[in-house]
Amino acid sequence: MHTPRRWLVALAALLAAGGLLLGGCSGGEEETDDADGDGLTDEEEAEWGTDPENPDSDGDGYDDGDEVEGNTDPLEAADHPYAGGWPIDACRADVVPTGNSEGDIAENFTLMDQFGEYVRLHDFCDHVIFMVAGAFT
Amino acid sequence: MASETAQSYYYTYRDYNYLSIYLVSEDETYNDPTQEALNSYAMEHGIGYPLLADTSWMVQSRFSRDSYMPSFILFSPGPTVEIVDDPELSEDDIRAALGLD
Repeated sequence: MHTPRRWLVALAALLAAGGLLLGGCSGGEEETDDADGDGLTDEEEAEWGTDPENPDSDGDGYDDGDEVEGNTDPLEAADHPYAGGWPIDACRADVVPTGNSEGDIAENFTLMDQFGEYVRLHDFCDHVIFMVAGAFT
Repeated sequence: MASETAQSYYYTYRDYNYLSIYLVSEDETYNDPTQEALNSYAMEHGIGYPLLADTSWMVQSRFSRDSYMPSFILFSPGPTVEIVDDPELSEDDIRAALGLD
């Protein structure tokens, strides 16, 4: 008398497990909203004007998502994160220099670094900087 | 050695919005430093911060009023020129600029 009921319970459990399994599979196959996998959603790509199907829209070797996160322009090949890994601050576009004496907002400079890239002082506008001028000693 | 002091500060404070920069005006033969020379020096001394070629002291001379080397300049965020050419510029000044004291 109890056997058919146990079978029904077992069958219901199997169906439920199958449903979960199928649900899990279909969820995994869903398309993501970052078609090129560069860290920017397709909606963000539209906002930035970058190519949602090209992870490196400006072809400078750095993914669009890394450029946005690193405060560089994903559409300007000459503007990209430093090879040395030094941070670039978002405030760099807003710096208004006043001079080079104590108390002034310093004028920008651009000099070549050990990787052959050109480093700009204003890229570090949100940092405390200890600058030494010397020679190879 | 000034580059090693800058390196020590860099590794100690880089997680506190701090950066060291070293300007090099000439190589061992008193010529303009090349990228290869900068890279070689950085590799040899394990320098992880920007080592920059300041040809003809163009940038140093903007700030520094004397010709002594090394000269030291401290910027607070801005970048605001805080201290120029103070031979007693110390780690305490950096810590104060970082708000760590």
